[in-house]
Amino acid sequence: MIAAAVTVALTLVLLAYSLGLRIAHILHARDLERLRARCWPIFAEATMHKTCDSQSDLRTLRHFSRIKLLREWCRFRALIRGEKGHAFKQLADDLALLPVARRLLRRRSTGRKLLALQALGFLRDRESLQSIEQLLRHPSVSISITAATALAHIDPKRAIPLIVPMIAKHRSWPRNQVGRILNIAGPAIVTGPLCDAIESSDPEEAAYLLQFYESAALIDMDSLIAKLLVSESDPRLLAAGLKSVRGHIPEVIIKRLAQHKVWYVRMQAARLLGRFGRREDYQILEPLLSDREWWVRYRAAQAITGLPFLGPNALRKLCDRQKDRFAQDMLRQALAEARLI
Amino acid sequence: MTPTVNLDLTMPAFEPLATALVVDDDEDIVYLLRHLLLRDGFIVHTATNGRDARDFIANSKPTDIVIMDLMMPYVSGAELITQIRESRDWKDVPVVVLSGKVTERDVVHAFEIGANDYVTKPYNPQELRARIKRQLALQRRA
Amino acid sequence: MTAILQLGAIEWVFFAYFIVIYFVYGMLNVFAVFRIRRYLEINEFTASENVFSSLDIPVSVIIPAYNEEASIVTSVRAMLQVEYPDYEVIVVNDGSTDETLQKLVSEFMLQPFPEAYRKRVPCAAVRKIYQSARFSNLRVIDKENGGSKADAMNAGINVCRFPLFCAVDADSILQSDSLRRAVRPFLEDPDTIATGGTVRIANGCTVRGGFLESVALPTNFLALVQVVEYLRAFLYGRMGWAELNAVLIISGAFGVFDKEAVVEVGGYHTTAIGEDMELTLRLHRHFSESGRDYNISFVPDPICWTDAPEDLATLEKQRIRWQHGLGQSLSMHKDLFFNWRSGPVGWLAMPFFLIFELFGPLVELAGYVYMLVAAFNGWISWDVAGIFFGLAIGLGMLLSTGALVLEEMSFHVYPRVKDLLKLFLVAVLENFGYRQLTLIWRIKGLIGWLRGKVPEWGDMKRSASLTSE
Repeated sequence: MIAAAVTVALTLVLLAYSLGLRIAHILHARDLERLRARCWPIFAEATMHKTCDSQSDLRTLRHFSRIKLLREWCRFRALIRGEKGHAFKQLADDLALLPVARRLLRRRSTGRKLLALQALGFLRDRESLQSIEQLLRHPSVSISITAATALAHIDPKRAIPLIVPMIAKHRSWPRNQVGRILNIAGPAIVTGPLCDAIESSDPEEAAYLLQFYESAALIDMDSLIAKLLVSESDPRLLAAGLKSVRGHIPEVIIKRLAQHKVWYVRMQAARLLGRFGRREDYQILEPLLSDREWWVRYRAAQAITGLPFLGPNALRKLCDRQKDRFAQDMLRQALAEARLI
Repeated sequence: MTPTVNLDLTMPAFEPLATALVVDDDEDIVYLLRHLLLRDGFIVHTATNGRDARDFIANSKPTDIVIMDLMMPYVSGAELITQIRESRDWKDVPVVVLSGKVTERDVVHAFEIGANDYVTKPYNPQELRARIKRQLALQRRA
Repeated sequence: MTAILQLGAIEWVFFAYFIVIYFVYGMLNVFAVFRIRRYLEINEFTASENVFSSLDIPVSVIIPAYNEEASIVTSVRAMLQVEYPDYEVIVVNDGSTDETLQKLVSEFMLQPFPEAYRKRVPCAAVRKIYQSARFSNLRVIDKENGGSKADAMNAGINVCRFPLFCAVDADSILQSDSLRRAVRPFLEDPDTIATGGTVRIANGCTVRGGFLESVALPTNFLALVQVVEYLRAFLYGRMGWAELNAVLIISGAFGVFDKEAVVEVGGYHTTAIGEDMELTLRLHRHFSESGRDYNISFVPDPICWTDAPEDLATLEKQRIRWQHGLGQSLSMHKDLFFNWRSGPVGWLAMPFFLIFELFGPLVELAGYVYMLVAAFNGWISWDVAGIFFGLAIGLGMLLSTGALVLEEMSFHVYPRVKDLLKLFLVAVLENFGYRQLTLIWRIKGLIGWLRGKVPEWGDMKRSASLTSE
């Protein structure tokens, strides 16, 4: 009987605990709604002015918890950009949010640290640079990547050479977030360190780094890629290199890679030739239509379908002319995708 | 949240009673856009999903401008643009896309199906305002 | 209490059974608490991400459909409106005998598409492939009926173009951010080969156009009990196991997989009863045997809602199938048991599933019967029997309420305080009657599997809330 009584009592304790959680949740939600109703109009208004002088508005906000205010400020800040033209950042100064963020950075809780990092990044707090740099090596992935993001906001010139060499080592940094960090810094700052890192790392890491080419300046990368395509032999790096070419690279290089023994190198070569759209490359592309690998045939067919000098009629004729059934099937699929048959 | 609007008279407002339709499933963004447009004297209609927007477009008089997201539940932004361009009343309404999709391909696609302008998130409110103003001016000239 | 000390060996077996099973569940609960707390702290900063770039991983969504004419158009439309930067939708019409294909053709303006089809994993013959003239990312595969969902899934895998594929039931109800949330583990850990998400009960909820619009509890008692059951199974069943990288089932209702990993293990098993569990186990087996780092992950967010049976007959058939599938999957991969490479999967999760999930019902029922008989005949005192039943039922209540606490700590899916109280009541009541009923169904399934009998599908009766629109 004691056992039964204990379990019933424990069940009741859990019930009470849940109810407590629920009540806390409801109160919190209500409080947040009140805060939002007050601060969002002020925030929105600030984005429209060069300076903000609505001290009376701010006074009403000062009644709320600073941490909650900081959270709302960050949430709003994440929606907008172009802070030079308006007074949104000044609001944070007027509300004395910076000291709050600095204090939160020292807290142990992950949630607090993340909020602090986000805020210090948005506030471009140079004084916290060093403590944030230390967090780059924090064992928690979300903290280290948020720290990297904050650094890119505060001082990209200093941060990017620090962050870029870490990218290939930190595979648990989500790629899309890494891309965002590089975007914050902009191509002028990213290109140099990214090229250096690609040149100095092993082929597998270089191949990983190349996928971030979009965030770098375009022309500078092409000469580096052309160099890699000639000197390197790791198929993953070759494929990543071909994928990242933006302008043009010499035809001889592609011609050689279109016959590479690894299929995904041939596939990327086919794709790139399609992007170039040059008449003289057609001779390289056509044999790829009969490649033994499905994806190579597919990309070659897509490339041929997109060639600017072949009209719908020419393409259909080309398709009928194919002697290899695999080539013909694939070309027909690509034509259908392009809505040409 | 009901926005409190302080009309700032030093800022040049748009023509009075211009109307706008704002469609985005992110309520924060709808709120901010609504606030910005209200203070410029717009009458603002909002929808937080594609279907409400589709119903609005099918049943209401055209607004002067539409600002919308591309990825939304029920009916996508692309479908809405197509609907607008195929509608008798709405076909000339300028559409400004405000989207989190940032690749070239997405931008090109939006223009192909009939968007007039494309702004990526996060956005600069003043820039967006200028772009809206320009679309309205172009429209008036036409 | 002194009565406990005078127990014989048989009584101890039954006591030990309950103590061990609840101890393990308790531990899983603790793991789940930690995992969910960590997840929520981070979630606040990643949930609202709305910027997409070419660095997001494109996904092929595969929807197998067999005689789904009533709902297929709605589900496909919903899938086409999911918030995700780059994906394609592939519907596999598995030789339906109703108007499923015709409905799709007219709604989406399907046109025959000359796909250069290649067969990478086994499936029945493909008749024709279509592409939508309205949505360039929608293709429909019309194939001969292969007799199983697995067969249809494999056909989808054969034609999908992207590195990840998402398996969705035609009647699964999604949220617009489902895909984005389920793909996150792949971005965060490059070794991830599969993820599942929490499945919830849709009965009682309002669903419009294939999307969940508002959440409410069902009125039907059976559905209500299943709400609690699912909370228990997903929130800490799987969350707890995920902490050990020992998730044994990625639910067929919604799961995201690395395509090459699945092709490497040969795709879905086309005749397995529980093809989702079988595939998950095969992935575990293949990757642990080849000594590669891999991760089968689980996201706690509610991302998929499914219709629960509201009548006893259908529910019984479902549970018999589940138990049968469990037995089959475990026996197919018995090599994993205590394999030196299989880690927590072979040393903890599989033995636990074998003893407590597969054969557990038998032990539990035997325990009830024995204790009653023994007490009647005076072999043991009524006090001991009382303690036994108090323990069995009381700990069951504790377990269910524990799941509710976890839900309260995390997602607060059910909005009203009344809902919370109702769920607590159900968590208590389910231990009187319902639990014993499922026990018998599970034993039926177990016997069916042992005798090698193929279980039948229950015909799902849809609740009214879902068929509207």
